[in-house]
Amino acid sequence: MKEGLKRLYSGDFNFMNQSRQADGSTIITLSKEGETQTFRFRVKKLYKEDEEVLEHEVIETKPPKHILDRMKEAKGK
Amino acid sequence: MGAELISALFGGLVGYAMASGGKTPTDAEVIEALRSSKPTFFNRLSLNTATTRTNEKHEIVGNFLKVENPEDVDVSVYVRLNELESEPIDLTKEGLIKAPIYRFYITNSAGTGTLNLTVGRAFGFELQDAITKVDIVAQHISELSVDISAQSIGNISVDITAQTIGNIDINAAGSDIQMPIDIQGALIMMPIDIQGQYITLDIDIVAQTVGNISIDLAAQSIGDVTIDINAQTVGVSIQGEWQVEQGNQKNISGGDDDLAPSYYTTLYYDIPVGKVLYIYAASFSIRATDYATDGDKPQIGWGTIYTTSGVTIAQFGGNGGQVFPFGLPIKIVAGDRINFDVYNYAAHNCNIRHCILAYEKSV
Repeated sequence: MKEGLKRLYSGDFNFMNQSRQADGSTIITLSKEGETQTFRFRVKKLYKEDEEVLEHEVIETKPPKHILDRMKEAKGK
Repeated sequence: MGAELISALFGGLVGYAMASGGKTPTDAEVIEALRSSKPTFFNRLSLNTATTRTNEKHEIVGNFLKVENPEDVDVSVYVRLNELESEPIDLTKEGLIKAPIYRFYITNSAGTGTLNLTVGRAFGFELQDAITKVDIVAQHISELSVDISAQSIGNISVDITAQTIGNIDINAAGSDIQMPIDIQGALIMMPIDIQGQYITLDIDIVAQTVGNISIDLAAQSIGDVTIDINAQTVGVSIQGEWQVEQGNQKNISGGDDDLAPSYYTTLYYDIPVGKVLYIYAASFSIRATDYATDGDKPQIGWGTIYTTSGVTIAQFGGNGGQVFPFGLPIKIVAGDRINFDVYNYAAHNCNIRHCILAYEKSV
């Protein structure tokens, strides 16, 4: 089972977005407070017996380095 | 009968009076009588009960016989005063015998322990019991160590009005303790470790500032815990706020573009095993896909939230969208599915976004 699907079925997320696709599949995006990884996967026949994950990716969602550096600098003042 | 014996039997003054023909003696005459007769005021005698005695004779003169330690021997020790025909007296049951004595006889069977006796020879000489009650009113007390190992203690009342108190260490291992404490000191550090089996502990804190109060309750059963907080700042969160604070929020969103009239978008979520979902709000927005052409027209949407088990939770609609906060959270249990559909009831194609705001608890 892909990590994204594990998160969905265990409820281990805070935010979920569902987007229907023209082919009947659904793109699901899951993220969790305090984590920098977002799980994005396209699934066909969600929750059905013959459910199938067509695509799965893990996206790093933390801010870019230059933003983090500016935040660090601002906090230091 | 000599002057010494008379003095010993009836006391210094009386004895001297008898020896002087009944007239009251002067102080000088008493001193002179004592100086000439040279009486000793008391004699001590130790009787080891390991030795068996039968009317063992002791030629000691006196007015009283004091038993110092009757609890230290395990056999009875009898005394016959003056004559063998006298009734025996069990010394282990008497603390003090007052009588004219010029000799006595001791009888005891074999035992363990030594009995100590004191035989006094004048009424003017007394032995008092030890002092067991102390009333201290000193202005300064350096050290006061009390070691009580009695098996049962009645009441111990302590009233301390000293302005400064050093250390008071109390180790109470009793099975039932009630200990009202009223402390009004300006600075108090009082670690308390209570392991009693039954404790009544009333605490009334009126301090202006209270730092940390750590409470670790390991009791198997706790009755009533009444908390009355009068502090000026207290943070109290309702359940939903608290669950979000704990990171248990569930925001589920979705939507579709270019939906034709009467078509709908949907989102759904199956509640995982071991979880319960509480929905506290839902919303949707709807706008014309061709905004330049249809933007000024009504953008009517209609939403419905329901479970797969057949419960309709909410239906709401509006022009351009709607936000629907629930008065009470809607509870959806594990294994059920929450569905949120929003229909395009405008007369043209629309884009729709919708969202469920909830929190999820483990059970």
